[in-house]
Amino acid sequence: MKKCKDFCDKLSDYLDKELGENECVLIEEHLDSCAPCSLIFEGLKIAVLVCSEGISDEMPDEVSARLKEFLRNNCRAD
Amino acid sequence: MVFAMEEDLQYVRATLGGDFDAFERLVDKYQGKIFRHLRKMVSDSSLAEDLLQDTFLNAYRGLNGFSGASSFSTWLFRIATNVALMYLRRDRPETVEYDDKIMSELADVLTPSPEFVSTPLEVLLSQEGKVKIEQAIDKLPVLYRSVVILRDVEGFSLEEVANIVGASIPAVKSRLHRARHIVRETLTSYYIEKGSSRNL
Ligand SMILES: [Zn+2]
Repeated sequence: MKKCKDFCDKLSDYLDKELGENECVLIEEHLDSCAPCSLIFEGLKIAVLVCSEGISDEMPDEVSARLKEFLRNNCRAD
Repeated sequence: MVFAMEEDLQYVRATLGGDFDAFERLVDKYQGKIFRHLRKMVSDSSLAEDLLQDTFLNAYRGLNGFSGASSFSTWLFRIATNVALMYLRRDRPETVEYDDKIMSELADVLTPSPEFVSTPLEVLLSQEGKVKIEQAIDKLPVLYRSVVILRDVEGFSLEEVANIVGASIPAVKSRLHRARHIVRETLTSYYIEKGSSRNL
């Protein structure tokens, strides 16, 4: 019988669909019957989701302008 | 995706043929993502700007060496990652060296929390929520941070991440596993605290 920690150690790979079918079934059965692990799994999914949505790739216009100027000065001199 | 790769390849060929405008199209397309990656790797916007310039200059100078075996974006992120790591190893070696030690100490924390899980997405992604996400990622050692950014923010496959950071796939998986749990733990404790202060 595996412990909760053994299941939690696999949740990240499970999210990435890196586990075989048998392991997936074991994890899904455990998550269905264990409230703490299922909360941890939900939390992990949300953490991954908010990372993907929550970090802006906007950059200040002046950073972009300086980059262009830098490259025009340095690349063309080559 | 195939279309994007084909388009990048055309810009690369045009650049190599002497068309500098084509290189600027690549810069326009990737500067925001590369800046975000560097900003998170070194936790400093003005330093990230210097490294951004180095990254694109190195890319331009090394464009001949781009074989097309990987996508242009994988290739470019690898340059950016190396530029950042080279800087960190030289100027802040302590941030890179003790990574695994810190992480093995942090690895066993697991808090199941209804407070975090039931927080609405619009709160999690509010201005304040986003600051917390940035802080949670900044708390991670740099090698873990870079893997989370590449996989969960940029959406690279595990294989591409391994290729970009120059690590094996099992090493990437293990860093990702720990890093995601740490981010979850950090956000969880924040929302537990926030919940209890609201109930006072
Ligand atoms: Zn359990």
